[in-house]
Amino acid sequence: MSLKYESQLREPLVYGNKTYHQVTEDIIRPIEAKPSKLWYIGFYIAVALLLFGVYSIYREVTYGIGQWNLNKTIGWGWDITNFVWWVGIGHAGTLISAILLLFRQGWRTGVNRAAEAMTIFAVMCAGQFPIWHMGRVWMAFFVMPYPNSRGPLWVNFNSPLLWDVFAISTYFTVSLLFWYSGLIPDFATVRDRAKTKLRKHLYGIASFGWTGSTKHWQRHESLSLVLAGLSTPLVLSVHTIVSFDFATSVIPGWHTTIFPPYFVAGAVFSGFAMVQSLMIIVRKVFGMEDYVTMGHIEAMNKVIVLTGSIVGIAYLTELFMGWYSQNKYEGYTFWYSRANLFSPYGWSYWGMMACNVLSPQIFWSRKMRRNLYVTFFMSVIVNIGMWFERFVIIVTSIYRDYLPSSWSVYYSPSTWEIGFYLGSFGLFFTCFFLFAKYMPVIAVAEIKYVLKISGESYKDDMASIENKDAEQFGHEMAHAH
Amino acid sequence: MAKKKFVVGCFDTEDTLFPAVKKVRTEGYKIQDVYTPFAVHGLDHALGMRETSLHTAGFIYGITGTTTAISCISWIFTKDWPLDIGGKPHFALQLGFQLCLS
Repeated sequence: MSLKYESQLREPLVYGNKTYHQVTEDIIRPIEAKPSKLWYIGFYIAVALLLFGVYSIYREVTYGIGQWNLNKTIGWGWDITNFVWWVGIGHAGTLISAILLLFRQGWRTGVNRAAEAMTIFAVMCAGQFPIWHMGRVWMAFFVMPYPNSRGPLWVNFNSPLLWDVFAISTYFTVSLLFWYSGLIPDFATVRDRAKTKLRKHLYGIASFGWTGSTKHWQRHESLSLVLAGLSTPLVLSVHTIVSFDFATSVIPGWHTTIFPPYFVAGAVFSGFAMVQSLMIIVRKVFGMEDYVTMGHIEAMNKVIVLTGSIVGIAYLTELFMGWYSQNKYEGYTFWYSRANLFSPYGWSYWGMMACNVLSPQIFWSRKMRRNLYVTFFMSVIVNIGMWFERFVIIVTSIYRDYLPSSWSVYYSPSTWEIGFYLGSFGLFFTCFFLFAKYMPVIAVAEIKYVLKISGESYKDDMASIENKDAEQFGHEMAHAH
Repeated sequence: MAKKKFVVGCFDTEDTLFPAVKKVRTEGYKIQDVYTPFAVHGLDHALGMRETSLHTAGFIYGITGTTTAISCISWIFTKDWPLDIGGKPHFALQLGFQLCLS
């Protein structure tokens, strides 16, 4: 007798005839084994990038923002583009863990851990950009509202830039808690299997004395529901607020009302693309094809084609409004600075269109959704496209403003600006490599929970239920326990 | 003092665990605890456990945080450093989330 019934028609979430013990073995093994050569190579590259980033920031802090090629007209360039890009990437994790939990989507279990980790690291990277962009970074704490000796001079609670401070930090906190509370039972599993004293001790601290008692589980489940309830509005609000950074201004190309939904869809779009890139590598390297199945990849590709199309509609709506409003400035921004391929930054607009709107349409085909190579290639393309999107929004809107005398010369980033961006990749991948080595990349306990409902071998047991008539089945279920 | 006796049972699957829990309880024995490697839904009810009050606590913390944040912001904006504008409830709510969680 199973606890829950799931249709035979649904694809299994876990392949192979796994027992509970095997699930543990499969997922914990990479943590207990010595890291492979590939891991070391990847890790060192990531650390090298990170160090380059640190040096770039050192230059920026020592000599000032002039180390970047920003100017009076293009005051936001690569740094804010990168900020929005990373925040967007951070959206998939919480969407998977929170919204899909509330919608009871079983397939989240295979990818939620890694996606949440990705979210946290991406938000960490995103946070760097506005902070270092402040220039006098040692005064960064001025953004906190606290009674101070400067008046007290309060922060401007009506500024979307301040909302960003709260939105991003809350988002980071909630994601971190969500991720960590899920990790606790798995850390306890690693602790119980530990062979050395040090290992036992460290994972013991990390698991906060978890025993697996029913009371623990009851609270754990309840906590994840509470956190899911909190982070669901956050998924929508964080990128909405990021879009307010632009939408509440008076810059043509920025002050449009469709920004919030358009940004949220774009964020989910790029986030899922990044999850695809990472998971395709992780499942290959750790041999976890049974847990992150083609079904998972297909499901994520469906989200990608949906959100990609929403973003496409947003682009077209903007173009339409640029004409329909009959506003000279709007028209100039949308139809010259962006849509005209031969304007200075026209290439970035069409790059964006090609990567974000046209190419994801390939995923209407089931065959393409289930093709690993296509998926991996597309996931990279989508992220390039989403970077272009932010670049288009920021730079093409401001490089020629209302006053032609202050129009900017062509903007291209300096070495240290690029270095900062590369450094954020370094930070992201350093964290991700450490995560993959020291933490279970798939939620062991959650896989066990869905194993009997959606595991391949258990699907067969359901066949006998399928043959029963509804009345008899209902009667049996009512008297089961 | 009467000696207390404990019996430890080990189960491979939840399919055998549930009937056993039910039977032991109807026979009048007290179950100390059940340890499982993953969340077994319904087990807390089968053991007759009280619902956790975490939801209520979370709600109270959330309300407290929200109220504090909104009142702080409106005080700052109307009394301490008056600007002709009120608070921003939606992000005050987020402050509330944060307080609620920490």
